[in-house]
Amino acid sequence: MTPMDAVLDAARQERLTADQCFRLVSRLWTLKRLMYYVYGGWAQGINLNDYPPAVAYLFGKQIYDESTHEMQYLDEILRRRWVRTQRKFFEHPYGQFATASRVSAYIFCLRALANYPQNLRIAALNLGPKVIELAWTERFARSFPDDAIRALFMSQLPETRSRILMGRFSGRALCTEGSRRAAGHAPVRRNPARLPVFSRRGRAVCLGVKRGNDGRSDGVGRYRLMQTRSTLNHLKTGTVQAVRIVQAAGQRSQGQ
Amino acid sequence: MMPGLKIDHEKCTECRMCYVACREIDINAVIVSSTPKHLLEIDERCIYPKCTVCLMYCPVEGSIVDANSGRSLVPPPPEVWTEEMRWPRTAAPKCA
Repeated sequence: MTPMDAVLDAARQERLTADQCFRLVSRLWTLKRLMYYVYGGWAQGINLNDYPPAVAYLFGKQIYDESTHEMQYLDEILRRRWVRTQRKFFEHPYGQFATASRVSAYIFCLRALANYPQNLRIAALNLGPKVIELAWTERFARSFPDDAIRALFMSQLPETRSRILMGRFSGRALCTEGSRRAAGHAPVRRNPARLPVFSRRGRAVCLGVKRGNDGRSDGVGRYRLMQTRSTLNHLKTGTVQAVRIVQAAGQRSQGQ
Repeated sequence: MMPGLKIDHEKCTECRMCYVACREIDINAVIVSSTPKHLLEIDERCIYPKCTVCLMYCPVEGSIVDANSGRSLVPPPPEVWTEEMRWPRTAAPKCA
């Protein structure tokens, strides 16, 4: 039983007061808003219409959707007159951003990985929380008693589902791009110093030939292959890691 | 009550400038609809013709129209672009 399940149960039994409903929508607003604040600049400098799409592009699109959801939550809060203006909501206790909270644990655990050269790792770590988010969004969209809020959750389902597909797609894209580069069909764009990695010997290793034409073992190519495997492995374990982080944050906040 | 303005989704680019402008002056009449496409809509809180601020910020001709006549209001025609109808209003209130 997660905290969101408890909220949904209370809502189903009509034990959720208007104030508690306000608090729920507000905290979801801070989640989306914080995500948008921290990663809002992510999409700057991306290339459009790339195929396969860059991870930065997909993540940038996610941030745009997070912003849309945030607007929806605030629209609902203002429509019901829970607060009168956006400015007043920033001052309201429910609309405060707390740095020691589950929300910020989720947001900043992604931030901590931004130093990695492959932003794929962020996409991977992002996948786990999105799986959890989709689960409770689906439940809320199915059975939240308030019609307007239920419609709101329902409208967010396609985008949340799309983020999970994004995580999977990123993994596939990496395989495709990596093997294309390894086979010499695509130029290495980012760092010319890495060109030797995709030399003939490197290609031989990546394509499954253990020794190059000159008969020597290729340590560099094997190293790159290991790195690719490591990143893919990270993608697979991203879900597990994120679940652990969220659970740990939950236990900490329950203990407080 | 029906709002006086309507968004023409055939022309609107969803740039959200009307949303930002309306939110900024605390009228909050432009909303993100609860549909999967999240199109922008104008609800009954719109006070047009007392306020025409979104018409000034909208970059696409014809994307905001008069709800009754269907007439395009972007760019704002001279008769709706008077000092009394802009926001913030600069004209001094008229004495009775």
